[in-house]
Amino acid sequence: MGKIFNTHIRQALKNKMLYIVLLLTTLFFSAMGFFIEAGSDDEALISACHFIVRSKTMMFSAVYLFSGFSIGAICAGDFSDRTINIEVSSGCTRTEVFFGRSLAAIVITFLGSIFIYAAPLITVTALFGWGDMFTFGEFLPRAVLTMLSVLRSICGFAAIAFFVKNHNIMTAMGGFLFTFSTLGELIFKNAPPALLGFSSGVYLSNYETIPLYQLNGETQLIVDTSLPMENIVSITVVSLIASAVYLLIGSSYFHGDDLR
Amino acid sequence: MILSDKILIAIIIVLAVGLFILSGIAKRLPNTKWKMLYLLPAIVCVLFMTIGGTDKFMLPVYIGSAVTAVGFFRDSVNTRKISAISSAVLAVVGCVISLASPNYSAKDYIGDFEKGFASIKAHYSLAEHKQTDWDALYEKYEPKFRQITEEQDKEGNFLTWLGFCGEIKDGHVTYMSDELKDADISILKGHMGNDYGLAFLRDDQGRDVAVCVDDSLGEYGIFNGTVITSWNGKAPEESAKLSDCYDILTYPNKTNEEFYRSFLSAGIGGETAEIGFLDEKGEEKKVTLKKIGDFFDRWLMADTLLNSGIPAENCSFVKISDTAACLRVAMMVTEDSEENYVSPKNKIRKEFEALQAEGIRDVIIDLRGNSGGYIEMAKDIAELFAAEGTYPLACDGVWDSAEKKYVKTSDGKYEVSEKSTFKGEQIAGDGKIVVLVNSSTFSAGEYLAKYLGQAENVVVMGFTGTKGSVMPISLTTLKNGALCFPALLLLNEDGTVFAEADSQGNTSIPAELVPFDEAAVKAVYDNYEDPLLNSALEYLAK
Repeated sequence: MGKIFNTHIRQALKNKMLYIVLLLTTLFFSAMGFFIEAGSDDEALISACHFIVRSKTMMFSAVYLFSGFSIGAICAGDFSDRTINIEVSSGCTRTEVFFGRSLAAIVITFLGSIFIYAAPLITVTALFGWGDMFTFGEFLPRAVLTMLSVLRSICGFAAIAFFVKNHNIMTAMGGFLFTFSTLGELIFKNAPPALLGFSSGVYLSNYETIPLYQLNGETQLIVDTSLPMENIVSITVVSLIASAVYLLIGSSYFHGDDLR
Repeated sequence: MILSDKILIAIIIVLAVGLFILSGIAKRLPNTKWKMLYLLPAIVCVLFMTIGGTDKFMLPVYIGSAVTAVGFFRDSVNTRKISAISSAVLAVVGCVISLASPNYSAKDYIGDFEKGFASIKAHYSLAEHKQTDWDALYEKYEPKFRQITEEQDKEGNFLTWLGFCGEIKDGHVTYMSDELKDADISILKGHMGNDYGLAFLRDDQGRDVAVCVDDSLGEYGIFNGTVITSWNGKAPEESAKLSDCYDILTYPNKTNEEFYRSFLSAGIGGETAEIGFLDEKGEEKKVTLKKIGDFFDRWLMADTLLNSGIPAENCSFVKISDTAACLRVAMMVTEDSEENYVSPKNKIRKEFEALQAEGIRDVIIDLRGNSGGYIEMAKDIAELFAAEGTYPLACDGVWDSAEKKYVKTSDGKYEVSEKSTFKGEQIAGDGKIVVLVNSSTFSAGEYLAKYLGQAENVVVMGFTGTKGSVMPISLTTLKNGALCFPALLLLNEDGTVFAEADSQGNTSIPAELVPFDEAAVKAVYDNYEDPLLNSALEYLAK
């Protein structure tokens, strides 16, 4: 399994398209971050804190764009030309092939996702400062939990990649989920936060705010960053369990798959 | 049972039957893609949970939908058959449990209370000014909300929130229900007690006097203005404490608190109520009155007759005498078609200039029942009528984002952000200005009374002062409603809290109190006159 994992990591690192998609996604959302803040009506509020509150699901859903492409390329990129058959028939078990590929895809995609998630934040912080609505320490638990929910979605993507066996469909799926994110905020309103990776992301990226509309025309924003312990625990536990279950489902399917 | 749960159970059972049948055929199918059908119940279930939410009593159904996934991992026909049967059985069990449980689809009222309480405790800007005792409030209301959650009493939830808000004594602290269609003051109908044919208010001598008295009580010698001495053997003020609405209908301004404190006792009793009163000779008498209706209706009538103000279009003048006109300001709202604030200043100026040409000199500004609106409008109208000079406006405090609180100076007062003023134009020239207020003059309406009250050509009059609640509101969204409360703090130039009634019920909004005496009672409730307006005219005639 280690050989397959290493091979796919090396192959991914040499994949120029992967870099291009990663950089374009990062640049696009960093620019979005800049324009969202620069165009803000409340000049006094412009800061990374304000961007985090205002961008809502944009930051975490941006990673879906990259995830679809990245996982599609690593897990399902060679189904169409049948080169995966060589790997399967080279003496490795199906389980080794599955986990070697999917773990390589998960590592690459997860690191890329962290980069995409952090880039707009770093850009806005560098340009406008962090702000004083909340500290980075108050933001960190939400960021960590968001990345856990992203990990869960990535594992789900990996399993799906072995079902659909098509890089293009995976890319389209990532794009669809990103486009769907605004609508998703409404659909996932009643859903328990831990139910799906997406519902966790929606929950974690929506902050309770109390605006103070001052007489001088300026607005101050009180932001509640606190998270109930039950939600922290449920999102963590369910994300880890769901990640494992998705991989088991993918592995089980691939085990008996005729690769057609 | 909720429709989405019914549909989910039906789908799970149908899928279980289908997967049971499929288990026999599946072994013979060469392609493995069909295996994914065994994940279908779980996927459908997650979809329903996403859209419709979850309920702990539906847990067997959720487990049942996941059980068929065993068939995805194991090829054994028997295992797949057993998992399909288990799924169907668990769906039926979930259905039965949900139907049998009174707490199925229960609303989390206690969760809402915990969230709302934490939010208001953390962000209510007037807690110190009002000396709010959060611990006492939590101790009193937490068990009530817990009980309401057990009983799933949505009306009780609304009323208890109103009680909680009422105890803070700030008209801007309110609860809005998402569950009740008519979640307004009319919900108090049925909770204010019975109508025995009278309401009462406190007169200028501190006595509780009968008002809005039903004609049928004349046979007992009870009329408008009759002094009530007891209600069911207790002093009316004590009896009022027995009302369900005692904590709900509270008054931030102490002049209103004193005026209305005992009126709720007139609804206390069963089929009958024993009432003590002073007859025409001044001797105490007791009679037993029968219930004739709902006290809410009589209270509404009594309040309407006293507090309605002049019936005229908002921001328009009504000629009252040869030399005086009344400007009715029923709300601080004048908007264009896109609901943006439009200043009424020019309209008022133009109308008043026309009236001046007809010999009008003095102005009565009727703010009774003014429900508030745009603060800007207070400044705009005050500028027109205040005597020439410069007057302070409300100021912003200095907000410390990091500490999430308003900054104080070393002397314990709040730091003022920026002082601002307005200039009086005195368009009425030598004419006098009288501002009429009452307990329903609220929020932005109070700004106008406060701003104008600073000018030497203006007198603010009322049987009582204004409501005493001026801070703009913020909102915390809860699962079953929303809690509104002020988080913004506005200040006077010296760093004290602007106009809001304090813990003792004192407010800096001036009001010259007109005696609510026997003549006033009879004028309002016998002759349907407006004695406050008459007092204003008498003042102007001096």
